[in-house]
Amino acid sequence: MVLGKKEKALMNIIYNKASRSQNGQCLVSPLDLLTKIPYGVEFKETELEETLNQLVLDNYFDCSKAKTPSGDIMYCITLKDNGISFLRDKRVSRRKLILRIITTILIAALSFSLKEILNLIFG
Amino acid sequence: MLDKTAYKILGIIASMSTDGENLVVNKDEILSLIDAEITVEELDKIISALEVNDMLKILFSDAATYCLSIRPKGKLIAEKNKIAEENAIAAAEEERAAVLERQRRQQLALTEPLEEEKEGKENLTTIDVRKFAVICAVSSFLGGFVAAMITFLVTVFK
Repeated sequence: MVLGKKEKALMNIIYNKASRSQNGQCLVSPLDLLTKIPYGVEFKETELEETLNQLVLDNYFDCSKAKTPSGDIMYCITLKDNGISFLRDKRVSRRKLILRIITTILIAALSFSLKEILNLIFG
Repeated sequence: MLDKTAYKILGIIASMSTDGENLVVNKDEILSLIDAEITVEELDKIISALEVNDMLKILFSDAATYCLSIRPKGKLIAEKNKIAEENAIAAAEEERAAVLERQRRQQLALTEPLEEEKEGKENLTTIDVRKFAVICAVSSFLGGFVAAMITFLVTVFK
């Protein structure tokens, strides 16, 4: 599953929090999430819920809104299958990317050397 | 098996959650609102029992916090218990008022005859004097009248 930049940033934060508990759950406030998003990612406060909903639809986690007795909103997040394997998927996709780059470089080098060989033979 | 404390905890949770929204609450906060002395472990057991009985759903739980969702059954039972508690308080207040009224009446019954007696005594002495004066006046008048009549008759028929 391909995630956007904002979704990836949010998923990173949630995964780091939820993976610490045994059952993949965490209780987090909107402020907590927003403060941990890297400065490089343009993320508006209004986009938080929308991004969370997208990740819920992609089956990364289950998110329930809850309120404290004082009225503060909290998100109760439980990782689902895609969420639990998020880190592994990230590593796999990175490995795939590196492999693809190496393959591309190798093919380019092979093509160049083949061109040079052909030049030497017929040139 | 759910006991009185469990229903009390259910009532506290129901009163904390507004409009049936999920509730994030500290375990200490719940413990501070219960009259009975229970430990965190006992609270955990009670909350689990409430979940087993389909009154609550534990969305999240750690050492210090719960995220709970109150189920319709739990809400209904909490509402019923609240009404029963209110009725019991109203009945107790009514009974207390009735007892107070009864005590007041008893006190009145004890004090009123004395006052009446006192008043009666006072009245009796005053009435006696008046009666005595009236009787004396009337009898002296009648005695004088009879004596005058006799004297008159004696002088007429002499």
